[in-house]
Amino acid sequence: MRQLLTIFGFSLRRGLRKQSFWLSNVIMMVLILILCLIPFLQNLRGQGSGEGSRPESVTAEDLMEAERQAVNRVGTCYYIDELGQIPEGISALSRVMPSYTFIQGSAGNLELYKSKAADDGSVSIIIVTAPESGSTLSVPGITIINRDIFNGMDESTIKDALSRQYISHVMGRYGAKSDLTQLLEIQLPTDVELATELDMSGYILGFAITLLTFYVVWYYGGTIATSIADEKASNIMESLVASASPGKILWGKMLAMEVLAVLQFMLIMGFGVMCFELLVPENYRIMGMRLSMDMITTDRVVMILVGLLMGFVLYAMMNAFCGAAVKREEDVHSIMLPVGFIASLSLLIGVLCAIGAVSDTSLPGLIAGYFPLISPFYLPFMILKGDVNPVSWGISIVVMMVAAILVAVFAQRFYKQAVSVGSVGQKKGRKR
Amino acid sequence: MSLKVDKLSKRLSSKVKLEKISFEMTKPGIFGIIGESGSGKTDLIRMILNLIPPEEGTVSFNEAPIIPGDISVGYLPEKRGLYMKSDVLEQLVYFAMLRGMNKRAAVKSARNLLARLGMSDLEQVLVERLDKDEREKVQFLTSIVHEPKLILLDEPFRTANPRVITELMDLMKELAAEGRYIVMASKEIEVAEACCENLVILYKGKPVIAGNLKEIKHAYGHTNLVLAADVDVTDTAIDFGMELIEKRPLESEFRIQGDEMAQTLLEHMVSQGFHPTKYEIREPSLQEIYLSTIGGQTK
Repeated sequence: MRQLLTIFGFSLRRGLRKQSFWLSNVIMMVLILILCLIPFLQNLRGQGSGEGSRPESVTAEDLMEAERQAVNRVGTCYYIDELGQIPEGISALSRVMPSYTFIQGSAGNLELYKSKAADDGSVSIIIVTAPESGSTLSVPGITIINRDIFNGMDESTIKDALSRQYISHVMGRYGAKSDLTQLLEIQLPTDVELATELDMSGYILGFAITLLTFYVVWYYGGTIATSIADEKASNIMESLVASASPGKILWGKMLAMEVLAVLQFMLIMGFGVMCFELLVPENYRIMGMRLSMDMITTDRVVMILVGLLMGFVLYAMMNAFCGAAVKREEDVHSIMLPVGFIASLSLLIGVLCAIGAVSDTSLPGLIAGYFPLISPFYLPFMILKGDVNPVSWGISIVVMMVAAILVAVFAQRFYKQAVSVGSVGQKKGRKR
Repeated sequence: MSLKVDKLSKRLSSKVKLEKISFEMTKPGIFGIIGESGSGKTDLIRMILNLIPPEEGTVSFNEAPIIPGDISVGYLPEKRGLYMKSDVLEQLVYFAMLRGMNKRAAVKSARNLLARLGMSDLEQVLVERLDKDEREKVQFLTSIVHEPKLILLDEPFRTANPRVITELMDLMKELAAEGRYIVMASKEIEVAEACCENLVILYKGKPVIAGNLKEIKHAYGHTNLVLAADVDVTDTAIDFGMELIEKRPLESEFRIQGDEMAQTLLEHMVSQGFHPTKYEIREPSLQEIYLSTIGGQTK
């Protein structure tokens, strides 16, 4: 134990003395300060909460309208109804989608319209197709062609408008009075209220803290790898293994890097919270959505830290394996590529699952929540959104701990093999 | 207290096998393991330290096996390595504490040793700023800072600087006088001759010469004459049946067949009016003994 603490203390002091440690802290703090100064300065200039003229509650219609305006400012749609199955279909669509320009198209030019749509996301095509043979209802169908899932027209709006237009037309053919058919065009007034005020903070902070977690796990884990490779290359290793067991050397380093990682994490996070509390005005909003630090509670910080510790051990041991596998420090970065790839992919999956709000019991949710390589980058987000219950969190931590122990056992054995002093004669024999 | 190495053997390569190396140090002193590169010195040291397992044989110090990390053992590896970004004192204290010393004792010991080598002003200097000789000395000190009883040194005099060699040799002799058991592996036969009481010389893993240095040399008798005079007496010496070993700028060394031969030459020189400025009858150097021994092995 004494040896472990000696190695831990020495490695920690070396890490604390590194210029890069303090420089990175300072740079991060400056960036946070600049971010927090923006609302502060806005407030000083009398813009109040910055977005104070916005209404307290935002309706779903407002959001849809904003989204529509943001996405569909200019659009063109080719409308093809060769058989005239939905008379005045273009007019019906123009009423509900005024920002679009509807052009009567012909089936013969479909390929031309498709190539335009492929080139330009604001171009779409609506085709009214003949009823399917054998169908009991004998109603026309609607085909909408957009460029991709991110561009184009909204299916439900088109379907709703053309369906009502078609029914109105059929009813008129059957002798329904016009005031009856006009009833079809009415939309009942709808108002959406939110039980709570939408708070973006969980998303913003969750994203920021997940990125910070990734950074400390990756950077400090990598530091272990370079430290091991450096000791091997500089021949200090023989003096070390003659003095202490390889396992103690490895764990001593790892613990030191873990403390540095947590220290940097807490410094940056603490500074961020302090700047927010001091500089950002109360009730500050971004796009009408409130920003606050209410979700940062002691228990959540503890949960995030425990997850960070487990995730760090896991990735650190993988990086220790990399460091022990090379003979020269300059080779470390190449061999760390697979671990870096795994970490980056895990970050991406974790964040996407968290932002996408997948259910805990869905397959993506289960994978992100319990797969030990992904959960360090998924849990902080979910914890800050308030979407993790203690039991699920506990299970994730236990799974990470078991995985970390297994990887540590394997890494330690490999490290011991890699750094053990071999016979000079036999090494020379191998070279021959 | 004693160090006992009993029949250590290990195949090192297709051509070299350490064969039944045995020696014992029953009292403090300096024991030399001498040999050319590839003779197995480093592997022997590592086997003594239990860093690599032998195929046969045992090692014990104080009647117990040696455990790596034991505070009573110090080791200077052949491949030197120091933390460049740490200062000298911190580094010495670290290695002392790794071996089990407490911090206060480690600092005291490190400072004492630095003072002994005149390096007190380098305590707070980063290792990367030291010159090569200073780093050699610091590396040496890492092996003894924790005050071990048994010290194993692999090529301690690698540096070519004679002043540093002298300093380290004096330090080793002081340590031996203080009661330490020192085992030194080296290629430098002259250096071994200067400080080792007992030694073993390896050639391709086999011990070719072993034992007390004085006794080894006595066994060869007085076979050399070192002669210097105002005139060149080489031809005269050869005429008297001597064999020229080496002609140096200020003297010559000859092989003689006994003291009488040397005496006869001296009488002749005096009778001719030549007075030698140096006349020394001595035993052969260890180097000569070694070369004559392996000369037989290589034939």
